[in-house]
Amino acid sequence: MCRKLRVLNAVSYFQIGIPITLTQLEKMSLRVLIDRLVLRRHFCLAIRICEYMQVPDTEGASRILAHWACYKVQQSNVSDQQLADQIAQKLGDTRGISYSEIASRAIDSGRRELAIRLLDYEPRAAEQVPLLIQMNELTRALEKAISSGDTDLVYTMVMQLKDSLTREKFLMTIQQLPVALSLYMQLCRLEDKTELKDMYEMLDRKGDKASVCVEMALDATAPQKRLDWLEEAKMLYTTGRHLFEAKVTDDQIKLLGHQKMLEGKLSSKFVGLPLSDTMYQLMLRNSPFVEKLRSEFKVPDKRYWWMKVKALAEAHNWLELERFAKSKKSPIGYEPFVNACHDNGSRSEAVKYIARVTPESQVKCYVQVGSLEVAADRAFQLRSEELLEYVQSRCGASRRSLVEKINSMKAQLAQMRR
Amino acid sequence: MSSIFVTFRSFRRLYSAIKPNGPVKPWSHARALTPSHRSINGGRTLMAVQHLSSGRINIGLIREAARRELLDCLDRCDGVKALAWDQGLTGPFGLIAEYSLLKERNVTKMLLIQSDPVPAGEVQHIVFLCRPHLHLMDRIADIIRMEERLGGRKEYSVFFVPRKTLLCERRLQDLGIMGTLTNVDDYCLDIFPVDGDVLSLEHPLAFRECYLEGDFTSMFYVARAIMLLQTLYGIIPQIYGKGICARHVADMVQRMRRETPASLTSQPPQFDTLLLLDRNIDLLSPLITQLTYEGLIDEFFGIQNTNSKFPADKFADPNEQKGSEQGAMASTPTLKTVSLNSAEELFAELRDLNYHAVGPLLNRRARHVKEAFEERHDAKTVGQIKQFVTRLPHIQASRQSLSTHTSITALLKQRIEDSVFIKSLHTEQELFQGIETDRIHPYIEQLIAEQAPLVKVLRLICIQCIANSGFKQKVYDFYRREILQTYGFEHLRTLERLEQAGLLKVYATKTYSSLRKTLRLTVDEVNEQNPSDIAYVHSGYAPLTARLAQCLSRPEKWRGLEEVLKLLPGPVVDETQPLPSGLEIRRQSRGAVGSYDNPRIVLVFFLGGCTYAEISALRFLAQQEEGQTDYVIATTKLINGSSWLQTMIDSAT
Repeated sequence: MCRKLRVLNAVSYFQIGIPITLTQLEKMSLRVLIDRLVLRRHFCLAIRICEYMQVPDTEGASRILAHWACYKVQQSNVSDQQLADQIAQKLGDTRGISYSEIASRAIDSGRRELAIRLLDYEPRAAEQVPLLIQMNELTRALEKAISSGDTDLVYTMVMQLKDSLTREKFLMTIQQLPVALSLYMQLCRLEDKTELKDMYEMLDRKGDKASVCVEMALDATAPQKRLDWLEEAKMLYTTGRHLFEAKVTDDQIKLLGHQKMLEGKLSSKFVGLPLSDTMYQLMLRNSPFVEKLRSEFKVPDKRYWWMKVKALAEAHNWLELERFAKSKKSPIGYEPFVNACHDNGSRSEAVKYIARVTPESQVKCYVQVGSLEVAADRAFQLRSEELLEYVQSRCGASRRSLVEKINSMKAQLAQMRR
Repeated sequence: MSSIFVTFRSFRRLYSAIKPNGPVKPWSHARALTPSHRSINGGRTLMAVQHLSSGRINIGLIREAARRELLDCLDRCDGVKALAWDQGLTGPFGLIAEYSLLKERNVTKMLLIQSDPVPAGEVQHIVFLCRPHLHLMDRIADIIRMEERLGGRKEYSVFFVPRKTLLCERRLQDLGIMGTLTNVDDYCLDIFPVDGDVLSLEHPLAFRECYLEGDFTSMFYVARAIMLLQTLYGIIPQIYGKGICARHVADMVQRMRRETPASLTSQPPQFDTLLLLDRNIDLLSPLITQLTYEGLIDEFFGIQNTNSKFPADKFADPNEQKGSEQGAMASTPTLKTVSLNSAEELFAELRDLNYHAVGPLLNRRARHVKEAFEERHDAKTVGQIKQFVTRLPHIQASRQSLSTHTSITALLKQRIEDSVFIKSLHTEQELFQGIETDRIHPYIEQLIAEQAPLVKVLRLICIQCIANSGFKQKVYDFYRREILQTYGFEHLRTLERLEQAGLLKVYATKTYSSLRKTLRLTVDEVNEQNPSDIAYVHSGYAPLTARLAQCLSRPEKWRGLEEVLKLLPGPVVDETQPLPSGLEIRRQSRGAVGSYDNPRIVLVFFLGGCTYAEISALRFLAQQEEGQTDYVIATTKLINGSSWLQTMIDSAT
C-alpha cells in the first residue's frame, strides 16, 4: 500500500502529470499505468517504478526497454551506428529482449542499415534469418544460419540462395562457406547425383568425383551405361593420382568383359559376381579359363587353393581333388581338404588327407570325421592332456568305454610327468 | 516465413508440460504392452517404468514429458485415428508409450509409412509420425493421394520427431499436399530414456553423417537434447570434451542458453559435469568384441530398445509342462523377445559382469532362490506362513528371471565356445596388444578366403590398422584387393568410406602405442571374476573413452594429460557455465561435491554412438570406492562394432 502511494506521488509530479487516486490505480492496474508512462516517453520513471514494485523483468524493465528502443529507432536525426550502439549499451544482453522486433521496427521506418546492425545483437538465429531474408540480405542470413548450428536454417538459406542467385554467383557464395557447401552436397547426394558430380568437378576433387561415378555405375542397370561410368571413374582416378582405385576400376571393367563372354558361352549368370565367385563357378565346371583369370588378376596362391579345394569337393570331383593335393605342397595345409570332403559328405575321402595334416590338428580332424578312438590315440601319442580333454568332451553318453580309456590315458600321462 | 519462429517455442511448451503446476492431464499407467513388445516379465509390467526413476537423476521425467507431448499431439487430431509410423521410430517409441495408451486416444490402427498399404474403412484421421527425412515426404504424399483416389474423406496430420524442418515443409508444398494436412507440427522428442542411467537419441547414422558427409544436423539435435536435460535437471556448470563434434556441441549449447529466457533454467543443478566424447577420438573401442554379459548379448543377438530376440525353444518354462503340440511347433524356429533393463533385479546385477563371472553369480542366486523356497518347511505358525506367502510372488519372479538368464547364458556359451569365435577373439587380443600388426595376418587372410561375413573381416582389419597406427602401403593394398575380389567391386565405396572415417589409413605416425602406454589401454592380468580395472569389459582392453572419464574424476582432472590429448583428433573443451546467482549459493550449501554422501554426477555424452561395454566400464568406475562419481550416459545410438560398421557399408543412407 505504502509503495503504491509513493508511486502515485511520483506520477502526479508536475512534469509527469498523471494525478490519479489509489482507487483509480487499483482499477486500471499498474500495467496500464506503466503503458501510459511509456506512451508519454517517461521510460526512465517507468523502469524505476517497475523495479520499485518488483515487477518481473519480462513484464517490466525488458518490455519498457524494448519500447524505448523502438521509439529511438524512429528518431531520424541520429546516425545508424550511434543509435545501434546506444541501444545495445542500454539493453545489453538483458534476457527476454527481442532485438529482431526492434530491427523490424527499424525496417518499417526505412532504416535498413540500422536494422542490420541491430540484428547482430539478436542471439536467436531463427529470428535473425527471416528478417534478413526480408531485407534481401541473403548472404548475411546464410552466415547467421551457419553460426547458429541449426542445419535446417542453413538448408533453407541454401535453397533460397539457389533460387534467387545466378548459378555462378550461387556457387561462388557457398564455396566460401564450408558448412553450407557440405550441406548442399549432402542434399545433392540424396537428390541429384549429377549435380554432386558437377560440384566435385568445380572443387577439383577428382577422387570424390570418381567415387560418384562408381556409385552411378553401381546403380546403373544398362550394361553399357555401367561401363561408361566405370571408364569415367577410371580416368578421374588416374588423373587424380588415386592409383590403387584406378587399377581396381580397370580390373572391374575387364572382369565385366570376361563375365559377359562367359555368360554367352556357359549360359549361366556371371555378370556382377565378384571375382572369387566367378572363379568358383568356373572351378565347379572345371573350366580352364580359371587359370587365365587367376594370372590376370593376380589372385594369391592361398585364396586360390582355398577356393579350388572347396569347389572340387562340392563338385564331388574326388579324383581331381587328389591330383590337386599332390600337385605341389599345399600353402594352406591339408586341414581344409579334410573339412571340405567331410562337409560334402565323403568321410572316406576326408580320411585320406588326415595323414598329411600337422600332428596337432590331426586330433581335431579325427574327431570331425567321427574316429574318436583314433583321435584319442593320436592325442596320447602327442602327450597332450588338453587334446585328450577335447576328445573326451566330444564323447557322448554312449561312449563310456572310450571315456574311461581316455581317463586312464590321462592318468598315464600324469604319471609320466612325474 | 512465420514457421521459422518455432525453434524455441518447443522448449517453452516442454517446460509447461513438466512444470509441477502445469496443465496436468490424466493418463493411464502402463497396463499392457503391445503384442510385439510383450515382455517376458509378464505380470511385472506395472513395474516396467519404475527403474527409470530409481537412480540419482530421475530419468522418468523425460518419459513423462514425452508421453504428455504425444497425447497433446493426438488430442489435436479429431476422430478415430490411424497412426502411420516411420519405421525407424516404432522401436524407440516402445520406450515411451504402449499400445493401450494410444488405444485410449482413439487410435485403432497402426501402419508403417515405408511399407504398409493404406487402411480401408472406419478411420477418420491418419496421423503420420516421422523423422524429418525427405524421402518420407514422398511416401506420405503417395499414401494421401491413394487415399483420395479411393474417395475416402479423411483428415491427415503430420508430426515430425524431433522437429519439423523447413526442408520437409517445402517438399510437402512442392508435392501439393500441404493444403490437405490438418496439422503439420513437431513432436519434440529429443531423447529417449533407455534405462535409469542411459539415454539415447536413436540416431544411428550420426557418425556417418558427421564424418563422411559433413552434415552435423545430429549434433544440433544433441545440443537440443542437452538443453532439454538442462531444463529438467538444471544448468550443468562444467563442460569438458574432446573432438570436433564435442567443440561444436559445446558452442551450440552455450549459444542456445543465451537464446533461452532465463526462467526456463531456474532448476538447481543436478549434474555437475557434462563430458562430451566424440566417437572420432576412439575408433578402436567399438570394434573390439564386448565381453560383458549385456555386450555379448548385443554382439550375438542384437539388442533393440532394450529388447532382444532369442530362439524360443531354448527357453524352458518352469511353470509349464511341455505339451505335445509344442514339439510339433519346434520345426519352425520361433523367437522369444526378452526385455533387458534394470527393472529386473538379476539382470541389473548381471549386465556389467564379464562373461566368466556370470556363471558363478547365477549359481549363487540359484542357491538363494532355492533356500528362500525351502523356508516354507520352516513356516510353522500361521504368521510365518502368511509372511512366506507375501514373499512368494517375489521368489517366483526371481526364479523366472533366473531361468531366463540361465537359458541366455547357455546360448551365449554355445557361441563363445565355437572355435571360429575363439580364434577371432584371440586374433583381436593379439592385435590390440600390438603383436604382429605390421604384416598381413594369416587368420584374416583365411577368413577372407572362406568368405566370412564382410563386417567381421572389416572389424579385424580395422582393429589391426588402428593398432598399427595405419598400414604399410603394401599390406593395405593387399587387404583391399582381397576384399574387392572376394566381396565384389561395389565395396570400393565401403573402403573409401572407412578410409574417410579414419578407420583405414596408411601408416603415418605412431600414435597407438604411446596412447596404449600412457592411458594403460591394455592390461595384461585381468581378474574377470573380481575386476580391479575397467579393462575387464574386453578381457584386457580398456575403452579409451571410459579411461578419459576416469582421468577426469581425479582432482587434477585432465591436467597432465595434455600430451595424450594432443594425440587424439580435435580440440579439447573445458568450459564453465555461469549459474544464476541464487543457485550458486544453494549449490555450495549442498556440501562438498564428490564426497562419499554426495558423489559428483557426470553426464557422459557419446557423440556418434557408444557400446554396452563402455557403459559397463563407466558403471564399474562409479562403484569404485575412490571414484565418488556417478555417471549418466547419453549417446546418439547404442552400437556395437558390427552395427556401427554396417552404417558405413550400406551405400544408401
